[in-house]
Amino acid sequence: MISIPLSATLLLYAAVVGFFAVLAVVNVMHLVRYGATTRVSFIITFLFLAGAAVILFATWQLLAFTDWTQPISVSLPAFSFSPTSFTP
Amino acid sequence: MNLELNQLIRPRPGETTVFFLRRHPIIFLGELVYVALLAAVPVGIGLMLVRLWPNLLAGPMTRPAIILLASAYYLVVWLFFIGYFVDYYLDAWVLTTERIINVEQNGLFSRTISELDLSRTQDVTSEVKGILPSVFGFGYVYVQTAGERERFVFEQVPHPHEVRKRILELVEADQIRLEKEGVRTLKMNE
Repeated sequence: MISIPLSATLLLYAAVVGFFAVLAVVNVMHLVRYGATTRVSFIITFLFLAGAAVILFATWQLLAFTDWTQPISVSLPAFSFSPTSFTP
Repeated sequence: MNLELNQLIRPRPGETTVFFLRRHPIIFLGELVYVALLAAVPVGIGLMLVRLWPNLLAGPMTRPAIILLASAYYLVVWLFFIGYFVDYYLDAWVLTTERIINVEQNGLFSRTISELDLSRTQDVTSEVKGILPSVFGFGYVYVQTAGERERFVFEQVPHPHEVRKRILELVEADQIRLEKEGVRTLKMNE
């Protein structure tokens, strides 16, 4: 039986958020460099950043009362090998 | 409306931009529908899970796990949204008094820029094919050239027939300009 705290899932989530942040910055930089002076790209960039903020804020709100210290127990399948039971 | 053109091409002396084209906005709207469908998937799965296992979303461990999973999923879907926009917005065709420039954004880290001198244009064809293109008035414009790249394609641009006419006018004007310049050079040499 392996027991890990629930907060370990936050590390995986943080990795996804990091990946999202890197790609978001690259996308926005593309727009800023090659055409963000236009109203359309400004509106879309604003919508994108606002949408991302809403997703992250909603996640934070929904998980506000979570007890992250409780353990996740993963039981490994038990097996035994007895040489006597082996019949060729 | 313009891309920062000077960052991508160096304008020649006396060259001016005549018009600037992107794909028809309906193309981006179509991609938005796809993003909306992707966003609806967790809602459907959530409803199904609640029916099958009513306590799943209330469990002390399953609830945070499901919320984190859904949040990660929505962040990725949201990346699709901005990715589609960047791809749509940074694909452009620029017509100047001397050239056609095609800026093509392929994903995030690849961009192709092709140029074609109007003087090398041999033939221009416009095509509107299908129900949606006919209803919304977008299609393809093919510019046949004498160069290595045989065809220069304007993809899903609005009013392709008018674009074809305008390109032909520009080609004609460019030929007159080149003839005048040729006469001037000859006179200077004499």
